[in-house]
Amino acid sequence: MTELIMLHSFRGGTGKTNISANVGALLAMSGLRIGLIDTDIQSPGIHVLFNLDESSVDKTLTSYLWGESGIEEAVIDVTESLGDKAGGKLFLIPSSIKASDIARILRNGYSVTLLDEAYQRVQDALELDALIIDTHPGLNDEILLSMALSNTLGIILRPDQQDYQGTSISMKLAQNLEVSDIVMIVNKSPQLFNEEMVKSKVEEAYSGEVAAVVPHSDEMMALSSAKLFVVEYPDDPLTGIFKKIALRLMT
Amino acid sequence: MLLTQEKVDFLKTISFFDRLHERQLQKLADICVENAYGKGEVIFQQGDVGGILYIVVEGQVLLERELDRQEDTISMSVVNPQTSFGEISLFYDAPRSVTATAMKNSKLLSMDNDDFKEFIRQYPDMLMEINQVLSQRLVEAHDKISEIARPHKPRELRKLYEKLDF
Repeated sequence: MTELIMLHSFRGGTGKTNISANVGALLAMSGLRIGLIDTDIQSPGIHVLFNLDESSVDKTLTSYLWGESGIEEAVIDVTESLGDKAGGKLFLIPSSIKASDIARILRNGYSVTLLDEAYQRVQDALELDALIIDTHPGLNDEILLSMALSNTLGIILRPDQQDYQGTSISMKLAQNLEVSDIVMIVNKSPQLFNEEMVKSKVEEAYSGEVAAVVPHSDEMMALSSAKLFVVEYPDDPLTGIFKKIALRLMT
Repeated sequence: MLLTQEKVDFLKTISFFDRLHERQLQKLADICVENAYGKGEVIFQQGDVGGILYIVVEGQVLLERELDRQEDTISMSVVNPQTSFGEISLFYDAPRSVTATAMKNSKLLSMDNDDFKEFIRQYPDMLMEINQVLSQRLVEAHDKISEIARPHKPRELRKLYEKLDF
């Protein structure tokens, strides 16, 4: 059975896309077949971590949702970006990065319920061990639908009052939608903060599990989403934390 | 300014008139007036007195309907070159049902209803062509109504939203 893992944050800028890509990469490096799907149709971004641009992306999730292509046609094998360390496979299903397509989505919308079929079809066609859903921040139809379909939900937040309030809303929604496994990931925690203290405070506040507290990293910032951190810095302690997150999301 | 023969050549390309002979088109061209509108310029407002049929020669025209009590408008259609608008006022003496605005610098041909009706009396076969266009507009309006009236969320989503009623 394929694990359907949704990574979500109530607010933008939490590092959700970076975590999705790095966790996906680690799972593929460990020998699993992993799909990464960018459902952030209005502001896609995960393709950047795999050095893809408008010219290298043809069929997308967006074209599938408009009935202009099959979802299988939108799959890009990005295993090569893991170097020679991949024991498994990593597939990316990007959203369109053409301004005209994004404008068209905003203007005309799309049939959101097709996402359900898309998830099912890529899981089956690619024989995936896990499909990781990278979402738009906040709440909208596709997030609600994806949340209801997920086996595991990772809510990403920063140690910040605005994120705390937003996370309580995401948690409440996920509980109402009866998501079976919900974990929180605290990202970009200032080096000054004691990680254990942050973890216990967040767990207590939300009566939920914190999978990891990820400290702010200058190396990660310096990569500026141009590369996968876990590939560039395989021995960095941060990669160890990403491994812990990956393991937790798969169990 | 278009010469009469240029108007005739243009009118030939309109489906309304493509069965008319050269002589008939010549008469039609005589009752056509050329108008130019700048981008954003209003051609007529919803509620205005009708009485003129327009055909887009160049540019693009947006037809919008104001919604009651919402201070908002709904886009009914975009009229491209070689297409007419304002035909309803030929047969139905009512205020304009939409506001027409030039989306680009646009050149239009306009025909006064009385002149056009007089022309139709001489060539009644044209009524069939006009009927076809009006019927098409009716189907488009029905499509628009269905689009507006359909439930905003598919059933699967509505069920999820019901679960969120904290």
